Amino acid sequence: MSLKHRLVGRHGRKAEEWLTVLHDITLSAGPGERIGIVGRNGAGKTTLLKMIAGILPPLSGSCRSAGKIAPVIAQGLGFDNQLSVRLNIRLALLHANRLEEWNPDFESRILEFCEMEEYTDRQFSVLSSGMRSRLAFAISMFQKSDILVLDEVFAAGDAAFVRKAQALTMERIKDVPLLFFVSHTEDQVVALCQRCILIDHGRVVMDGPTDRVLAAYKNLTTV
Amino acid sequence: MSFAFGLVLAMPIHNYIVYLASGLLPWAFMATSVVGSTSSLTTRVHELNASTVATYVYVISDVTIEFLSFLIAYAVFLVIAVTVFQPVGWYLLYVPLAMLPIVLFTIGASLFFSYYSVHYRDLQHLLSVTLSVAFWAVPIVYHWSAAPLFLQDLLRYNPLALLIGPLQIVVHGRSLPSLDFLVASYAIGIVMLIMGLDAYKRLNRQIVYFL
Repeated sequence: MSLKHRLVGRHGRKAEEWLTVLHDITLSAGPGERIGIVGRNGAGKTTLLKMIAGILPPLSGSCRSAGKIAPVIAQGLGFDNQLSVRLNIRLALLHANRLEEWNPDFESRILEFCEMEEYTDRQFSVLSSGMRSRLAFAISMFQKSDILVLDEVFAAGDAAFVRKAQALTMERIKDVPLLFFVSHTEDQVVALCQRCILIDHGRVVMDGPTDRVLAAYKNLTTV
Repeated sequence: MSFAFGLVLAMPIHNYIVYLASGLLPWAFMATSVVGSTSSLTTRVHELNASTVATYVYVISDVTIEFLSFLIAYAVFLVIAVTVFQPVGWYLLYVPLAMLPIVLFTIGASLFFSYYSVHYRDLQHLLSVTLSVAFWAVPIVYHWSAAPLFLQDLLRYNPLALLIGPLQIVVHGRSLPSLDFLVASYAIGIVMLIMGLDAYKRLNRQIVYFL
């Protein structure tokens, strides 16, 4: 909207302009749970994750959590081509609200994991897209939290790095007390989650054991 | 500009360049920060949609960048001023005191306009035009006494003039501004800061849905 519209009387967003993404969601989860969230594209999975992570505030109702939440939703946020790789690590941590975690050892572990030690002081723009993905993945996964919120995160890159990244992801998932995991890959959801939530058109259609929910999801997508 | 106003118009201002720069640099800081703040949030849709970083951090970081540039420019200007135009003196210690209300005002105005510009996207253009006009309402390139009599009070006591004035008095006049002038300057800075914080408090919660 513009000030011009406001002044001439066409103000406020009309009800039909608002898109309600989630409706009547009631959800609770406790320590030890590994919760998969499945649903078709546009069902509201990522919006739900963002709400859990505190990125999007609910317009009605409330969303409460106890413990530190690590949202791994958008990787590579804040990277700046003009700065060095070293500064970009700090910048990415800043955008993830985790700057206090930075220390030389933390930086070294990330660069070592990405096999990019020799690029530490090089300009970020010299990195290939694969290297950028590696760095973004490592920064997002090198964190300890009470609640891990993962949105389709499994690293891209060459086969060896993907294996290493998957091992790191599994290690983090094993360590974290509570996991929310969005994925379209059935095998990953089965391997990681005992409980699953099926979302469709912004509503929780089913909440229960993973095998039953995935079966319902299959029915939904084949209809 | 200094040539035009100092020589061609033969303004009766001693050390005109010092007078001009003492007001022009803080004005440029304030105006650039406030106009820039209107895009602090609107150009960071991706970040705000995926990060838990408080939204005001982006606004404050933009203002901080402008402030650092201003500080460097002002420091260079002061060095030139005391080297070429006027002697070093205790008056330089008053500079931070006179600068603080400008900083408070700029932070407040930047917060205020950054949040409202998410709702009113044409605010940036309106603000640019308004500040261009307002610039001539503040005695920066001229002295208020050069204006017609009926305009003098307006030029001398309008909020922006009261904000910039103490720094001009300190640097160009080499003295501490009068208490009432200083109080007025701080009051304007603090009121704007409160308005900015109020805009943040009112609009922050749902701002991401309007980006």
